Amino acid sequence: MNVDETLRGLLFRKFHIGKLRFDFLEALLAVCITAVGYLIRTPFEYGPPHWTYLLAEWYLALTAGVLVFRYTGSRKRALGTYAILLILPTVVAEGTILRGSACLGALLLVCALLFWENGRKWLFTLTVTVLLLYSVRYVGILAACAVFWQKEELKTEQLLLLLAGGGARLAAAYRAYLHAGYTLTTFHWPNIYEIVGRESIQGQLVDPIALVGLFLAVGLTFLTLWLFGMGKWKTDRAFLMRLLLFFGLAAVYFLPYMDQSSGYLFCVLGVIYFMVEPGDFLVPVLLQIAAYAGYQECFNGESMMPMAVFAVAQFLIIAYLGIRLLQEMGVIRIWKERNLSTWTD
Amino acid sequence: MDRYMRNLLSRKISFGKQETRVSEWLFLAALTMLAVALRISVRSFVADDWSVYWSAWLAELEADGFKAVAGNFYDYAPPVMYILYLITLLPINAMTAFKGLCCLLELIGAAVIAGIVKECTGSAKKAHLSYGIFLFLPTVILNASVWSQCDIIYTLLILCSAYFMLKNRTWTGMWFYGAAFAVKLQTLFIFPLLVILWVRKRLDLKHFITIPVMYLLGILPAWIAGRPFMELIGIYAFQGSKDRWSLSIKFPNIYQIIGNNYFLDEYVGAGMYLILGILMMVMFYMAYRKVRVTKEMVILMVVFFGILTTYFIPHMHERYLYVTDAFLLIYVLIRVKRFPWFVASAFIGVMGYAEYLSKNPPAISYGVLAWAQLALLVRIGLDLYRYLHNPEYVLPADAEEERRIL
Repeated sequence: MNVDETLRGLLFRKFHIGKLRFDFLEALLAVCITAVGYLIRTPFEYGPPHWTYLLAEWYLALTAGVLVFRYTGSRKRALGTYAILLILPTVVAEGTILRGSACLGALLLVCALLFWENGRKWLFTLTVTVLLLYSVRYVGILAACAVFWQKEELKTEQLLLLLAGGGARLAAAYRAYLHAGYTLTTFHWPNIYEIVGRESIQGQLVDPIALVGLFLAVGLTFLTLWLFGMGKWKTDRAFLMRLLLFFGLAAVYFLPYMDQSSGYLFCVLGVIYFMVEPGDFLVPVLLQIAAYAGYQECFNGESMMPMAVFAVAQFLIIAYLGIRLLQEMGVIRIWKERNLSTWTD
Repeated sequence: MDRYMRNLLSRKISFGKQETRVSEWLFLAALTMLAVALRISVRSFVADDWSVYWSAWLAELEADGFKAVAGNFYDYAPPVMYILYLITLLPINAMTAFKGLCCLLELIGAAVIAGIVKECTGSAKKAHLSYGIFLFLPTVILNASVWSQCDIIYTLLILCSAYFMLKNRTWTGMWFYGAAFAVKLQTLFIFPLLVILWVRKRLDLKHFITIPVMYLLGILPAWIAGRPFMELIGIYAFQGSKDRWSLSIKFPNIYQIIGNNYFLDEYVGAGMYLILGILMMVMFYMAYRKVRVTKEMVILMVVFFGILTTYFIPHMHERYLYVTDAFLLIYVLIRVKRFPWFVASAFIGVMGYAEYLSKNPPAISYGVLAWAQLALLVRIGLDLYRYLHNPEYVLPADAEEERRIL
């Protein structure tokens, strides 16, 4: 056998370490992409983040890979998730350039989803409660949990715990935000306020635009929950990811005073979603571009393109996910049937 | 008279193995003459690059002769300087000679493209069409005849490389690829294709020796003339470090969306690591797809890697899609439904040229063009994905792969 055949054979040779089975090429990619993941964080002024945060980012990529493996049973997709998350520009921007901590929120949700996958619903509930308490930007996940409860995937006591956590955080956060005298209603996060105008109304006790936005977000969430309540629950993972992405993104799209880090969790979820549903690759791509544009505006003080462009892109993603969910749950069909039989009477 | 003319035009003439009608020969001749006339008519345009760089380099070569290549006044690969040196020996205006040479290479390039199209599709008509389109492609006309750039040199070498590889003359193809690398670093945009061809047994490791050998042959005369060897080895590294004033130089890529003028140093490193990571993942994915390697797949991969790499690498110039456009032309003549994408790509490309030459800002912002370029990348990526999953091409896991391009 010549050198070429030996090397080609080595690439696809299978190895076993305990229960772990892998090809040489998979191990090679894992090692190389980990190195690239570290190197991509080095060119910036302050270098890579503290090693504990680096570890958290690495662990996030690893757990997301494990989650995808549990969802799909595919080692390659799991490895792909791990690889993408290590070099995802949003992840690098948050941890290395901004020195933010959004990685912890994403880590909490990915762990919660692993608990869910293992059937540990209480651990899922506790982890998501911690997530909701951690930051108000994750409050949309609470709405997704309400759908789980509607479809009897969560118990009432579990929902109450989540409501307590999320509600307390929402109340505390907006009590502070609304009276803080902010001059903007969005901080580098391309959402509805980038389209309607992001300057706050000054000289008022409370900015009315932000207040309207807050109630609009809550009202729309209730309305959507009511709509989803009509539909049927699906057990596939792509549906679960769509649900989390839809409610999570919709909340931060309408809530005022969100910042650039609001997109971080959904970029991570977008990558997992892409691995579960590769046909929907445009969702994570657009999400990544829109979220990174927010980070870029945060660092530089100005955006290359109008932020409204990215806000429209986000709206398209939310609309796509929402319509797809309603179709899948049969809500649109139910609406049509009711419209024909009883509602027109 | 009428019958005589019609008979004459439909008469077939043999040229090697090719049998072509007189009318088609006349059509090709007319195209060629028009293309030459067009280039002659714009030959006197003096671009900034000519007056700032090329003419200064020529002045050095005229003053010191061949030993001038020992100096460090140029940042192009030495083979380009040898061509300039030869131009200084001619008794005609240097710019006219340079543009004339490029015009000649464009004609040969168009013929090679026609050859590849004929090889891939078997259609002489498509081949003739590709010949004409390439010669009248605005970016091709503007590149050499107006701007005095020489992207046709390495593009022609890459086209020759592809032509011979598709004919399964691997060594010849790889020598041409090595020669292209000796002329321009941008040849590396499509290097991942060679790695995939190696994994799929269409290339062996020994074939890769052509790259360093041709590079060393390319720098040898300059080294003999007296330029330090290490400086010659690192000439491409120097090229990469000189455009640090913008992340994208009139090129519609990701930096035109997220920001072009910030983190100028940081994004150079980060962008290179990012594309390295992306290429690792793409190559990993492709390595596991056991498919029949056809001519269409090779062309498609050239286009895909050409667009993908330039979309993420920092400091890309507006001219760097030249080679990709040539292969995109071949691809759209294989898949005619994709022709509008070629038109879009040509339009996107010409915007940067127009800004450089006219010194007016483009009518459409680069951000919009970058979104269009992203759409093109997605379209080509989807075509490649569908190819890799097409049951017609997918091979069973235990099937022995053919060691040639089908």
